[in-house]
Amino acid sequence: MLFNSIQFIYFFSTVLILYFISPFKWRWIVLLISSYYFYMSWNVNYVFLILFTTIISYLCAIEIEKSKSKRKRNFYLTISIVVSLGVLLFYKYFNFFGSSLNSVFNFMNFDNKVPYLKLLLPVGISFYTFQTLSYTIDVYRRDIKTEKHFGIYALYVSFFPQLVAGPIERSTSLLPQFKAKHKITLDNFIMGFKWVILGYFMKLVIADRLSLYVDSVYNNVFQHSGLTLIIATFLFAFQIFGDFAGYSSIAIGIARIMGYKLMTNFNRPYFASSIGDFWHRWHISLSTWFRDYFYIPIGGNRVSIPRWYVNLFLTFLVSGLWHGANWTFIIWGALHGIYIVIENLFKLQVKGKISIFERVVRVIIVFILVDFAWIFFRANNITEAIYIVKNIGNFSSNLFIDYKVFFYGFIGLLILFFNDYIVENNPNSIILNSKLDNKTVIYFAFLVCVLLFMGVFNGGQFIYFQF
Amino acid sequence: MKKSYFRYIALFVGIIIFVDLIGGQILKTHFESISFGIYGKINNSLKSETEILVLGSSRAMHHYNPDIISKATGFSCYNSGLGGYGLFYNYPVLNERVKKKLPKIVILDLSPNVIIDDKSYMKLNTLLPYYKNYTSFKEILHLDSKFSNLELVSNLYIYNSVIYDFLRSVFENDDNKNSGFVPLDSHMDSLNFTPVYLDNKHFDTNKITYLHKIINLCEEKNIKLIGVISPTYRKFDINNKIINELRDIFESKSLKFYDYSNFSKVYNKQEYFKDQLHLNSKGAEIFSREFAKKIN
Repeated sequence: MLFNSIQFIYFFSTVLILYFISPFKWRWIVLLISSYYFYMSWNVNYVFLILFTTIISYLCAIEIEKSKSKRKRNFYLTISIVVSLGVLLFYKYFNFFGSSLNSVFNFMNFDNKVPYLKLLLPVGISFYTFQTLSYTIDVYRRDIKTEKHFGIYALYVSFFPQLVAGPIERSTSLLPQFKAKHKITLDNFIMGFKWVILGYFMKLVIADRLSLYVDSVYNNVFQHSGLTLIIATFLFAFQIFGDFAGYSSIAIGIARIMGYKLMTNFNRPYFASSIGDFWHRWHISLSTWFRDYFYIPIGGNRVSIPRWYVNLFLTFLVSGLWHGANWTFIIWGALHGIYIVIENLFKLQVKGKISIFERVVRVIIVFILVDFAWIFFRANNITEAIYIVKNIGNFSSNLFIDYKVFFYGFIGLLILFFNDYIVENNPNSIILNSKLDNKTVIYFAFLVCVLLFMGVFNGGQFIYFQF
Repeated sequence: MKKSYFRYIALFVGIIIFVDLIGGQILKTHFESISFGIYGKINNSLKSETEILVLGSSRAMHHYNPDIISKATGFSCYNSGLGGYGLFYNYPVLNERVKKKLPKIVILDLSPNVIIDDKSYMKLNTLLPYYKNYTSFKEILHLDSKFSNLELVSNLYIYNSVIYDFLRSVFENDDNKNSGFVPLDSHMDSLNFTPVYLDNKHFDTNKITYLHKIINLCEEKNIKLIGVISPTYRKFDINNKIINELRDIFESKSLKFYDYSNFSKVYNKQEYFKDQLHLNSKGAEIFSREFAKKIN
């Protein structure tokens, strides 16, 4: 069930009514059943996996907290990590590593072959796995107490607004909210509704429109000129932003309508003035997850400088692998790793106030670097990605023009730029809080009209569902 | 504070309803004047009064030159073919056309995927602007399982993504200058040839039903219906599964059926194709001349 479907509107309206008419002590049941129903709408069998991961991490966390000896605590933490990551690795990476190993075996003339398994990647597995991992690690570190109520914990793992594509919430933030009594308030409703409208705008007006051009180019890269490839890559930067930030925005909005606060996942990333800044603005819940549960545990910056660079690079490399079982994602992660190491090596971060001119130049350079890396993220395989990189300067054949996409895409991007420019220069802007004035009301009514008039309503899935 | 909130909510809803009503009314008034793009093509097809009507999808649109057919037969001809829209579009267009003026001959171009189960239902919602004014389009839209009457609440939504075609048609009248025929320039090269085989695909029962509806409508109105598989660069149907099914349907009703899928004058010749399924203007000219001889 996609956020951009009529079925979801019916589903959410029903959940909202049931949630607010239910007595407080039953609300978690309403949300848990709704979340599992939402998840089962993709594939009923997926539910056993999420339930299995939930039970194991729940039991391990309790044992970790109970255990006095470090050995036992380590043992239960290891079980939790091995099970959660094991399920993820098996479903997401088995065939990838298998085929990579087979290539090595072929090269060495070995007869052994890793079999190819017909596996269907469970939707959102990377997201809820990371959520369960952060929980058990936090319990192990004694940063939080365990959640004794299994139903509430299961809800934390499966909360439907953020279940399939984040934001990856922390137990410290989300679990207490399930125990708090939420009233239906106009403040929450208005704020949530604003986020939902912005999210739908980004998904339907920008991402799904631009995808019509991007997909037709990237699915036939060998037939297109360098200029076409450049335009498609430029548009993909906004397609993926609209798609993923749009999903996060809708998730934040629908949770907020029910009274829950989810973390901000995107902060206008294409206004970033350095690569480090970009990663403070893009998929924040994932980058902070990697910071807290991977980068810092492997030493972070409290090591020798060469080792620090290795840590930075490794973090981005693993982040690339998290996105997908394909060399394209690994190269995408590696590129960002290289960018960030170079940025730190030459101390290119912004320090103090800079002129508008320098800011603009930096924003453009960062965008070009990030967009170059998107080639690897979007390309269907490594051969096509390399072909694009090699041919991006080859303008011999004609430019592929889709006036309709350019027309609607330009209008959408102009509105997005206007929106983000205002919020960037005034983070407390009325656009994203619960306040209202005439201008804001007119603006959001305008967005709804644009949505109805220009949105692509038969578009596809959200890109991040595949991760 | 609460009072002002309700005032703002009323303002928000009021603006949307106002824009929706006014915008929807303006678009409704001018919609039929659109002569560019998908809507231009459908509008012109519904307005056409020719004696020969060509139906089909992109292959019809690019393969049948009405000027050549008219000269050869002495009948006026309009090409209603529309890229990406098959029988679900052809049936309501024909049904509305016969209410206005009966064509003498209908040429139904049958693309390789004409009865194949594919994603063509996804495009049906672009026919929404015709829902209210043309009864034949209603039943088609309901074929899409995702279609909901909720979609008819907003006028802006009904005319979603229409504005571009509207603005273009203010400046140019592109699609009607060749009586609906859209010639393709350039020719294919070996790079853009990936063989497509459709034998292993399943038939779509809804599509077969609508093919029968077209046949029955022509029978009922005494219109001569000709089924044609126009040329392809290479064979798409190795075991003739699709061709035989179509031939059986037409011949069981004693209707003419022509299979040009391996038409020797253009078959396997890249200079006559834009890609493996579409003739370029040269190929279309050769095919139209050849086929026009068979019409009478």
